[in-house]
Parts: sequence; structure tokens; C-alpha cells
Amino acid sequence: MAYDPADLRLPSGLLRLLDVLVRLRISVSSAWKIGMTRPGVLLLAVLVGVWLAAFYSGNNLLYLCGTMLTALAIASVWQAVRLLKSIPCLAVNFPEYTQAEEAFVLRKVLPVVSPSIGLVDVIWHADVVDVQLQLRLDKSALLTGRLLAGQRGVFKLRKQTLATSAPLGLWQLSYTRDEALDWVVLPKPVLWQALMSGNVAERQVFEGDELRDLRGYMPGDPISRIHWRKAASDSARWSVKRFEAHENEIETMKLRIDLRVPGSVDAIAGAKSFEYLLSQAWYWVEGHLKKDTSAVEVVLGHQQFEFSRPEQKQACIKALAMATPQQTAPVGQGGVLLSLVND
Amino acid sequence: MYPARLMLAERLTLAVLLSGVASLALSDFVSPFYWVMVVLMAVVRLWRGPVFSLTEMQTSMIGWAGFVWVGLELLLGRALVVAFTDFLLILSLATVIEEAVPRNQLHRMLVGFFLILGAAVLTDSVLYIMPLASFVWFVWRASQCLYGMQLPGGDLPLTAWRADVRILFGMFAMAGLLFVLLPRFDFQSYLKPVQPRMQTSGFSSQVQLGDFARTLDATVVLRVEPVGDDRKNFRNRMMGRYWRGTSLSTYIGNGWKEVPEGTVSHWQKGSEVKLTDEAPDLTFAVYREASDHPYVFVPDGLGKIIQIPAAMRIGDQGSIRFTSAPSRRLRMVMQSTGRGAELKHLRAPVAQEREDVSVPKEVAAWAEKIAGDEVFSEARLGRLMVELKGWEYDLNANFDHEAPIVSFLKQKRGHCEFYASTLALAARSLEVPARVVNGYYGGEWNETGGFYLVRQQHAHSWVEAWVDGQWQRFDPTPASRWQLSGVRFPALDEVWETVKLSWYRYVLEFQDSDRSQAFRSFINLLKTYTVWVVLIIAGVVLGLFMKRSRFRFPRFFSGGLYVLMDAWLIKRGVNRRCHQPLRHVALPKGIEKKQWQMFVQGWERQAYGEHEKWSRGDLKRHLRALS
Repeated sequence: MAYDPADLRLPSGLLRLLDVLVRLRISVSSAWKIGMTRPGVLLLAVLVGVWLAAFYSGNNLLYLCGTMLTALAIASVWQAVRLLKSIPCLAVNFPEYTQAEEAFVLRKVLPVVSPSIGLVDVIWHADVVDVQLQLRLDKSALLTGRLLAGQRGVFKLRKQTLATSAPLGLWQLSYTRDEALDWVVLPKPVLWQALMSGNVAERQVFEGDELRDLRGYMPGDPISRIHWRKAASDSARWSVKRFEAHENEIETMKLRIDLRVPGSVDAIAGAKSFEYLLSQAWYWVEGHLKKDTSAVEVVLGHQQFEFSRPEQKQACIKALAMATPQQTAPVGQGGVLLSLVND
Repeated sequence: MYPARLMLAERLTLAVLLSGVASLALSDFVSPFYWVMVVLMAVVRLWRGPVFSLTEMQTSMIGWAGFVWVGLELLLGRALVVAFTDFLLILSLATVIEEAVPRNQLHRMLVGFFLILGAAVLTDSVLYIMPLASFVWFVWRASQCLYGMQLPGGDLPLTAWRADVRILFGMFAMAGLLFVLLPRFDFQSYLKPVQPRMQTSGFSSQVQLGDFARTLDATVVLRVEPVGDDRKNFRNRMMGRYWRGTSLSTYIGNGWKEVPEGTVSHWQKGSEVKLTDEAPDLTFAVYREASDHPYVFVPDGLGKIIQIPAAMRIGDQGSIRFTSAPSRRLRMVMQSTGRGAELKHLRAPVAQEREDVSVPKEVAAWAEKIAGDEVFSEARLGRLMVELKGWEYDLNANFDHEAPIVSFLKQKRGHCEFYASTLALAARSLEVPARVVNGYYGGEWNETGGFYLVRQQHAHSWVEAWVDGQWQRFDPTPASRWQLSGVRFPALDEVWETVKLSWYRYVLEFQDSDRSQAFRSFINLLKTYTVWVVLIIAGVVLGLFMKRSRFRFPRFFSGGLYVLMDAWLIKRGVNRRCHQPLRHVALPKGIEKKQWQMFVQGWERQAYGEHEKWSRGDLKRHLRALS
């Protein structure tokens, strides 16, 4: 804002008073609160002066000035109310998930036709952490923000506060509304390779004759398919051979995660190992999330998810974010097994 | 090179300041030198941009110099409020040419506020509404511009001025409503709007012959409107009334002067002045313009003045005057009886009104000759009047300043003052006590506003003579006098005067009693149009209900959103097949792919219930945004 009364070289006492007034917030209802900005305090002072003079003198022109300025103040509040009410549900613009300790930069253009132009602070209150975003409304609406969570989990964002001093920068209006969202924060993925032949995924093999192409290696791929000659030149990127007959092949990739923590280790080390296990699991799941051709199955303790069904894919991500140690072994058999326990 | 946004803020804050200056310039109390200087500097600043500027220190020095100058003005006797406005205008000058720093924008807006408030006290012109409205608009835009500057992510653009029209309309409506509803208090009158005193000649305790009513000045002196009476009745009854001002009894050779008042009654502000015993039957409001004399003009047949707006004194020679000349417009509610009602406060003639020593012998001879052998005073005066009315009315007749009446007798042409003076002197020579009365006659009817206007050109002199034990009016001026007018564009003038009277009546003079009257009128209006009111309320309630319940007319009635969508697509060269989803149609002409994809996403979200359903208005808005 370019018209801050603090620029007027006011005495420090007056500036402190300004700041006290600016911090005041008056609850208009359970959802709405109103406060003043520094220019707003100035306008209020002018209004008080005009009305005192008008009431004292009965001068109808002072009444007219007072009513005009009051109408201006009310109109600016009204515009701000309309602006805040015009903001649609923002949850749909929230990412499906983010990863712990990794900043996610949100930048989305929303199809909003705002009655006014302004900057809106969006604060989503969660039990552990508040999410702060900013919505810039001009010709289009741009939602920006930086999402950073220190730990894995599903944070329940329930109340959302929208605050703005638009359109004139006189009043700070805030509107709290219910907008439920589960912020899924997954662990930071840990790179690992499932090379052990005993853990190689169950696979229905349809042999072909002609080499069709190469694709990137994914944990669980049979060792025999790895293009070793290529891997020798570039050890960081392994490739897997695909044959012509594989066009119609149905692959079933399976990951079984054992959520048991060995009793022999202390709690801190156990928790650390458990998080590491989940990080590995997330690495595997993330790798398979966008593969439509693969039939992926994830077993997380007692829960079983098939990625061919989108809702189960979502549920798997959420379950991974919320996973807690269990006492029993994972259900099912076969596939890649991730476990901290040696049975 | 200055950023475009700064230049815009610069222009808008300058507009705020100039609106304030314009409002103050409406007052004649403010010296044109000050505001002309500000306007000139503003024009140069707009032309050259912020290059034309002084440093903050230099402009601060101008401000301090202005402060000292205004102190000197006060010492020299200038009124405090006027000196204060001079100071504000000097500050305006400083802020206009101050360097373009953020502080400067605030300085201009603050000074603008004070200017507009100062003008509320120093003017009462109807034109004040224009700078006030423009001030509010520019404050809105300037604040919006300044708010959107230097924000994270860059400056926000300013809304189109067309978008402000609706807001402004709402603001003015709200201001009007608040203006009517808020209670009025009147603890003192120092901050009441003042009006430049109109400079008049003729209305004083002493006049020189030939000074009075020589020009056809269209300046308005009085506006008279009915109170609770129908226009036609009011018009008929007020037509051709004499508005009595000062009575001049002593002839001094080349002019007249008042005699000292005998019994004087004093009336305090707010009291009711009763002049006759007859029951008044016509109520009207008189708006007296500010003037340099204290005389109150009252029509013949005046019965009462209700709640006088300032202290008055009433002398027994017939003059009613304020204790001091009011510096602003006043509204007086009067009640009138029939025209011939006897004014009980007028005393019998005094020696000065009888003396005939000062009557020029030529006048006496002429009177004797014309009156002839008539016996009764009234008949003798009647003869003189008939003779005088046959002479020529001439505003620009030359006369001898040493012996004006004698030269008038020779030329037989002149204006009303000569006619009245000649008749009064002639009456005295015939031993009839007489005096000259200055005031106004008639006025013009404003059909648009339904009120009478009395202008300076209606100033008039006539004679009061003591006949049959009472003062009777004799007007010897030829009727051709009333065919003259100085109004150049009568039709325009009629509308303009109506606007002005409405301003005085409904803004400047608005009182608590007017609110209840407005409320009663509103109720009456509601009663008259009950059916329409009920229908409108039902329509509004139904509309609100439909909006709340998200009611949609059946597709066959409203045409559905797809009809609108398809029409829009066809305009952009896309022919959507029936049941073809939007995501599968080709990209419409002139639309960016990314925008179209976003629109389709929005469309699908509302269609599948993820977002609220769009109305036709919503769709139109989205399509407009897309284009």
C-alpha cells in the first residue's frame, strides 16, 4: 500500500497509537471481523471530526459531507464483503499431496470473476500448522502459496479465514468459513532398488520374440529384463527391455509393507526406522502412481489397495501418510516385501 | 522516467485536491488569487509531470510562509475561518508542486478533505454538490490506486471507471438516505454555511434619488413557496403583492431618509411575530438571500411570522428589520391574511410626514393644478396618480441631481422613485401626510418549481398616504414598468431557479420536521400505489427466494445453459454436436487454449456438482471473462 500515514512523520506516540488501533479487530458476527488499516484510522478520524462539527452546528452541508464520506467507507466495506463472498471453494486447487520437509509452491489461476480487485490472504487453520496462501484478484484470480510441512501426516484443515483490505486499503475485513480439506503430507521418498530375487514381483510372463523398446527400471522388474550393457555405461539409469508380445501383457506389481516395528530396538530408533520404511514404501508407490499399464497392488499392514481403482489409489496415499506401527504381519503373500522384522 | 502507476496516482490525487479547491472557489470569501494560483500550478504539474516539483523542504517552507502570512491576515482583522481557508489554499499550492513521494499523495488527499469541509461552511451554492461528488469519486479511485501499488506480486490494475458508476450510484443513494435519517442538532451557528452578501442599493435608512432600481438586475432577492397549499391558489393569492421594506419619511432635497423609530418592539429568535388580529389563511415560506441590509421584506396583508430565524425589531413607522444583517440565507415561514388587513404596529403620521416646507414650489403648483377642485384627499391623490401613470417610464432618464423632482416634472419621464417621490411631495403640499416606501412589487411565477421569485429588478417605490385615519398605498408608476425584464434565458432560468430552491429547501434548510413530513409523504405515496408496492415487494421476495433456493426455470422456458453456450460457440466458429462434451469440441476462435481449458474445467465442476451450479448470469460472466 502506498499511502501509509506512517510516512507523514507523525510523532512516535501517535504512531504507536495508530498501531494499537490497527491491531484492533471487532467481531461483527461469528464469521466476520473488521479492523482498520492506518489510512482507515485516518479516514475514521476525519469522519469523527466531520460528524462532530455537523452535529454541533446543524450545518446541512457538513451533514452532506459526512454522509458522503460515510457512504464511501460503507461502500468500501461492502465491496470487500462481496469480494470475499465471491471467492469459491479453494480446496480443489490444493495439491493431492505434498512431501514432508519439501516446499510445494502452489500457483494456480482460478476461474473467478471478482466484483473487485484486491489481494486476499487465505489462512487455513489446522490443528498443528496453519496454511497461508494468497489470492490475487485482478483480471484473473491467482492463488499462490508455499506449502511446507515438517512431518508426515494428514492435517485436517477445517476453518478458512479470508482477509483483505481491498478495495481501498482502509479496512481489514476477515471472513472465516468452513472449508474442509485433508492435507496429505507424505514422507520424503527414499531411493531403493528391489534386487533380491526372492522379492521379485509376481509376474505373468508372456514371452515375445522381438525387442520393442526400453523403458526405465522400476523396482520389482525381473533382473533378466535389465539391459545390463546400457547399465554398464550409465549406472544411474537402468533400462528394462520390452518385447513385442508385451503389448497385451498384464503385469501385476505388488508391494507388501510390514508395519511392525521390532521390539528389540528402542522407541526413538524404532520410530526412525519406521519412517524410513514408509519413505521407501512411498518411493515405490509414487513410482507406480502414474503408470496406467501396470496393475499395482499395495498391501499396507492389514489394508490392501489396488491401483486400478482410483479411489483405492487415493486411499493408499492417505493410508501411507497416516500409517502407524502395527502388531501383525501384512496380509497376503508374494510381491516386494518391505519389512523391519526378520521372521 | 516515472512509472505509469505513479503518474496515475499523481493525476488522481491532484484531482482530489482540485475538487477541494473548486468547492472552496465557489465561495466569494476566498480570494481568487489563491485558488487561481493553485489551479495554474496544477495545470503545469499535469503538463510537465513530477519533473515540475520542489523538494519537500522547499514546499515545507512555503507552508510555513503561508502560516505566517495568515497570522498577519488575522492581525489585520480577517475572519478566522477565511484566514484558515487562505492557509489551506497555500498548503494546496505547496502540495501541488511537492516532489512525487508517497507522502505527497497523502498530503494532497488530506488537504483536499479540509478544503471540502471548509467549503461546506463558506458557501451554500448548489454547485457545491459537483466538487463534492467528484471529490468522493476521485478519493475512491485514488485510494484504490494507492492501495494497489507496491503489493507483493506487483501493482494491481485499477478497475474500469464504468465499474465505479454502480458503486457511486449506491454511495449517493446511501448518502441521501443517511442525510434524511440522521437527527439534526443546532448548538450554535458559527459553522453554518454562509453566503456572500449581496450588494444592493436603495435599502438603507437614507437614499439618494436616482440610485434605486435603475438597472434590470436579475439577481434573486426572495423566493416564496407555498407551505401545505395548492399551487394554483397560492399563485393567485400572491400575485402582484407589494413587499414592504423601508419607509422613508424625511425629504432632504435630493433624496429621502427615515425618521427615528418611536416605539420599537424586539423579538427573539424562534418567537412568533403577530402583526394583525385577523386570522391568517395562507402560509408560505420566504427564502431571503443574504444582503448588506437588515430589512425584512413582508408582503401586504402579512399576519404572522412563525419562528423567526434571527432576532428582529419592528418599528412603529413600518419597517421590520433584523437586529443585524444576516450573513446567510434565511428561511421564514409567514402567514398572510387578505390584502387590506390593517397593520396594528403602524403609528399615525409624524411631523416629518406632514411637513411641506421642503416641497419644491413647482411640485406644489403642479399638484394644485392637477388636483383641481376635488375635495376629498383620496380623490385628489387619485387625480395625481392618473396624471402620473400617463407619463413615460424610463430607467435611464437624465435628471438634474440638484433638483431631481423638478427636472422629472419637466421631462415627464423617469423611474418609480421619481414617481413615488413626486406623488408623496405633492400629497404633502395638498396637506395629506405621505411617505415613500421602498420594497419590491410582484415577482415572477416559476411554473416548474411552483414558487414566486422576487428579483432585484422588481425593486419598487410607492407611496403611503394617511387617508381616512389609516395609511393607504398609492402607486403612481406606469404599468409599462412591469413589462421590462433583465432575464436573458427565461426557460433555462426557470429550471435553474427550481434547482436552486430545491437545494435550499431540501438540503440547506432540511430540518427534523422535514423528515417526518417526508415520511408522511412516503406513506401517502405508498397508500396511493398500494397495489404496485405489494407487487414489487412480492417480486423482490420471490426473486430472493429463487436466488436462495437456486431455483431454475425448466429448460424449455429458460433455454438452459447449453443454448447460451452453443450460441457463443457458433459465434466463434465451433458447431457443437448434441451431447458432445465441451472438452471434446475444437478450440473456439480468439480464445487461448489455457483459458479455454480452465473454463471447461470450471464448467465441468459446476455441471457435476463439485461447485455451485452456474446461472445464466454466471455463464455470461465467465464467457465475458474468457473473451
